[in-house]
Amino acid sequence: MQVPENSIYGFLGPNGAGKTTTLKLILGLLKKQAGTVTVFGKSFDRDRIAILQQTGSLIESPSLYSQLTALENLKVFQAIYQCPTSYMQEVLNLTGLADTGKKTAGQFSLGMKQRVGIAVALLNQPKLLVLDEPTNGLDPNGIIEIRELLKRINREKGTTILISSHLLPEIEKLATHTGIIHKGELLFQGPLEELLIKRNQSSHILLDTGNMEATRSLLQKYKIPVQEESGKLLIPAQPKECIAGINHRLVSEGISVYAIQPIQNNLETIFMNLINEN
Amino acid sequence: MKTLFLSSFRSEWLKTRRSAASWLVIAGGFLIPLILLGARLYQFEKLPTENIHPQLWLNISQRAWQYMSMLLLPMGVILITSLVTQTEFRNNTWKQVHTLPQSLTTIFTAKLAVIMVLLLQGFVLFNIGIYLIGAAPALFSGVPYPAAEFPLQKSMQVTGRYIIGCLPIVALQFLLSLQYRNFLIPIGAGFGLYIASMIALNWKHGYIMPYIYSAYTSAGRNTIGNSNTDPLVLASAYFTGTIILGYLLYIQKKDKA
Repeated sequence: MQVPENSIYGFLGPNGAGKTTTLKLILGLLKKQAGTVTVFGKSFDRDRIAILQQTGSLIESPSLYSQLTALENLKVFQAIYQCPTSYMQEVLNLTGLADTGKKTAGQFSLGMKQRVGIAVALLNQPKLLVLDEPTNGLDPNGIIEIRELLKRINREKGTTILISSHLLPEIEKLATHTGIIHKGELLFQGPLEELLIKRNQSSHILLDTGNMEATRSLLQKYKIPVQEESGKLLIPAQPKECIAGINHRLVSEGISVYAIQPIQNNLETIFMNLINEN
Repeated sequence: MKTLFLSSFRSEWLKTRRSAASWLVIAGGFLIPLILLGARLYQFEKLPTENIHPQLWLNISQRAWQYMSMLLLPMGVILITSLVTQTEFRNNTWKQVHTLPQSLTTIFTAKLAVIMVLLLQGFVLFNIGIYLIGAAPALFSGVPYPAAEFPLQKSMQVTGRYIIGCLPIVALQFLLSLQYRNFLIPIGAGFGLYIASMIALNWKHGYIMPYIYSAYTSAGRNTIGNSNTDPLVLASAYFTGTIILGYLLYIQKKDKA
């Protein structure tokens, strides 16, 4: 696994694929059985403290002391990072927690706890940010806010972000690079565009018409492979000009067209394709 | 290294704010003195004569330590050590602590230092409480301020012996609380060992029980069997050995999340 500097690396995989385990290995939370971890060009085993000084993390659920307020929680970590105290207010503002006052973390909603977790991860202005499914528990608005925040940090401060998720659409909106893990094996790694091309290559179009047999004959004339699915026809993804041409022919031959629907593959299908490719 | 330890200690100390352990220290420190003060005030008419008695402080101190050492002290040490150490398991924060730029040795020593300071705080409050048992009634008219001077040096010596007597409890509770996520394991083991120690109090080989030493101090036992060895030497050895074992087990843990 290689995370390019200044990138947002989306680490994808279904539940139980090994995403959290990998992130824990990178952060030294689990003992390695084999291999090496190198961060900022330094060996993690040799330069653990120097690397962690420039790394922020949020692994699984947020780590908070329930009897302390958001600010007090940040003070616990600020004492170790020895970063300026002004950073605490800065990250509270960034994560929308500036008004939590004397409310203790135990009284926070899951979304608020997640925000404090992100604030802790950002506290030392890290060069590398490791986030394990950071939008868990956030409402749609919160998800958008955190996504924009991460993009901004990456753009303005050059922070490298390694973020895991099991949701491809979420990563698609954020990442510049992706890695896909399945059953502990890295199946794909590269720029996001490469993954999107792979996805588009294996996408389909669903045709719902008034005369299925006539539609099938027409498509076969174009040498397009056809599959039947729940009374509709499924064909491999085609250039948009070609789809417009098919639609035009169907209509001109008097076949009613109810729907032409692109079916983009979900993560599971991409996994299956990648497994088959491997 | 020194700065790092102090930062780590500060961070660990902040975690005790509003925690059950910090309240327990205050309550544990003042509980026995408050009960004894209440008992003295209940027999108000005896106070003027008691307060001019030259042995006043010795009598108060012996009674207070007797109640404290047999039950409250071991129980309090078991609870405080386990509560402070288990903070990370309870809040699911070990993974964050272990991704901070500090060595495992610093984390271990800072946590242990916080426990020791909390216990020390408890002992200081208890001694203040002992002083108040004797001095507070003088606030009422007709009750003189104690004629005898408060034996500060003697108090410190006695407190020191009790602190050393508690060290094996601290070490073993610390080890167990670092190893097990389930709070009931260190607490159950602690209470079990304490009860076993009380049963073994009059047994000639009772000194092998790590939780027995504060009761030995209370009973005035200064030697082990026929030897001239102070039981507190054994308590210190227990503490050192258990702390070293606890440290080795802690740094060897495979999953630090």
